[in-house]
Amino acid sequence: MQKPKFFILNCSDAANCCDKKEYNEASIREKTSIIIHNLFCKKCRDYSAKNSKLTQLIKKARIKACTSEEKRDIKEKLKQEISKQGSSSS
Amino acid sequence: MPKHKLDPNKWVDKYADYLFNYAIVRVNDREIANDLVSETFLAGLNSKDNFLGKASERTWLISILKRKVIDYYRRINSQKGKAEVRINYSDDENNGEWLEEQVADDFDRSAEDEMENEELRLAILECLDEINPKHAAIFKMKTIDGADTEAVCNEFKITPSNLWVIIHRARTALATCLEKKWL
Ligand SMILES: [Zn+2]
Repeated sequence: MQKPKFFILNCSDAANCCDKKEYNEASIREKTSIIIHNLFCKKCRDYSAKNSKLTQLIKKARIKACTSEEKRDIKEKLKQEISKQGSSSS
Repeated sequence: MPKHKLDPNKWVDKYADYLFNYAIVRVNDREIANDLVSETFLAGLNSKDNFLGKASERTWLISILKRKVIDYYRRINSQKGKAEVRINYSDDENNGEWLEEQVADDFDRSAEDEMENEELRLAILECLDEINPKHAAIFKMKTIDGADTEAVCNEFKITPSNLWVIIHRARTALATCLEKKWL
């Protein structure tokens, strides 16, 4: 995205800043720009609210993902079994 | 013609996280949870001719995993019995009782939280199944593993602006999917 001039953003840039903010990757300038944009834009205000709720929900869910190595191991086992079946049926 | 079909080549990418989350809450051990997930996929593969297509792939795999978890509890049952006996042989009787109460209380509270969160957790993972698998993987690495932007971009060979577009789509899709019940 382009650097916001005088803190003026269009809606898609505002959404982008808003997403970054949820990952603590928005600069102070970007954060300020969202606040100003949201003052005048209901659509983005709603998006910001929903977006931060979503972050809270994901945190609350405490999802545990398999690591890519763990997935690779499982894939390997499954692949071996698939090839075993393929060779026994042919 | 059955409504649902099995596609074992996609199982790990599509369902591993979902099954893993179901298992780890119940067995509380990463390694065992992973073993149960592998066993589930293998059992699914071996009994795929029994799949009638009435349930979705995920529902069917979860039903297999449920049985695997029950089998696991049966297997460890005797070991658990031994642990309980050991608690009763505590030197200081009062201290032992206090410890046991403390453990029970902690367990109840965390079990309650877990039940509340599990529904949400599985709902999120179900919603993520509906979006492009690569986008889901990118979203999970960034959001759930908390990887930094550079690491995700390297792993998936994408630019930061690609990343943010994907993250935005994933978040929008996820919010829509969760909206009715959770947001
Ligand atoms: Zn706007």
